[in-house]
Amino acid sequence: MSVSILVVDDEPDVAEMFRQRFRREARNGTYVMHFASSGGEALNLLTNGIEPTLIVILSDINMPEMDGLDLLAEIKQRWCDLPVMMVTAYGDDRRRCRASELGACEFLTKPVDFDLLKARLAQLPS
Amino acid sequence: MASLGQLTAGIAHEIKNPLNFVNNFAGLSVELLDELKETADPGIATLDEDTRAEIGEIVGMLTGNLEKIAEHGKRADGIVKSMLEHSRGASGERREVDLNALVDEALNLAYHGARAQDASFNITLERDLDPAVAPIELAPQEITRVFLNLFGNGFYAATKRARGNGEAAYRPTLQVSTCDLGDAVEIRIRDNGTGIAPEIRDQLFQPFFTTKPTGEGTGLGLSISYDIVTQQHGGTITVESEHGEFTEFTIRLPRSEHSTTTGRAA
Repeated sequence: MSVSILVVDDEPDVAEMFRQRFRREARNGTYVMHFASSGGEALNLLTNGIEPTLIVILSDINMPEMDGLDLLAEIKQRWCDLPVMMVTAYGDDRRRCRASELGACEFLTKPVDFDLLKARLAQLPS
Repeated sequence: MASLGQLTAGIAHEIKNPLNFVNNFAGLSVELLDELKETADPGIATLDEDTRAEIGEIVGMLTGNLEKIAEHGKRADGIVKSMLEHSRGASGERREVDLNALVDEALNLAYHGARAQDASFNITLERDLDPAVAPIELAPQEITRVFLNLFGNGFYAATKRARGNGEAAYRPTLQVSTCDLGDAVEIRIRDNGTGIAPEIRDQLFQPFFTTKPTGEGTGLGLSISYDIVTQQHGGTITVESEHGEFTEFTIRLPRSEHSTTTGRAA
């Protein structure tokens, strides 16, 4: 059964990288990938409803206008059970703690270890 | 003006991003090329020999090129990581420490680290730690980094000499000594390695200056050590050397935070 993953990152090459990394999974129907290039766009997609069932949001932190932590806070307020993982170049403890306080279920640093990410995704309640 | 540490950290962070893409897309492309070969093989088998050979050659070069891109990307990544490590966590937290214990700990760390990287690495360590050295207030993380840098350089020089002209009786040795000068403490780190050529003596502490071959050193160790000793601790760091024979670094750290060392260090 297909499930959706939403990736939020202002860098267009990140979307392309995720598309390629999840190419097999997308082809055999395990995951359907969705992309938003800003927090605002992500919230729009969420409000309009994402099909098939969204199981996780992967979000960058460093984005213009609305950063990932603000987006995280907003998402948790409106869809509290939706798992959000932060995927960021900044691995510092302050951001890690803040993300955890705001309800992120995972904090991954770039460069992304895709094997690790896929293992974490498999562990999510679906 | 940004300190060297802040500058290198900033540059390293900026470079990390595009570098990640280089490495990732190179790796992805190698995989995609393998997939392409697999998918296209049945069709290629139907072509004439010359065309098949040419396709094979081109695909081979493409794969090789991508692997080279990935390899150099990883190399650049290593340099960036090294730069970040050198400029990381200047917490500057100061506290009273037992200097001899700090020296000893750093020496063990450096030694075992070198052995872990190269099982054939061996050196004689000689400690002459003055028991009369009283506790001194300093930033232990940063001073440890200075020690690690200097020990590492000493190991490198001695090992280089050992591998050099095949002197039969040569025993690579690193001597570390501490001494309490009352208003300051002195640490000497002496290796019997390749020594420093006189013409480069003045450049030693310059950022990015290195005598190591490409990829082996960032040239930041001594300049950051210099900053830590002089700017962070108000101390002095000097070097004495005879090319081909030995190198000795002398560090003086004053006891009072705001004192300056009087007189010129040797």
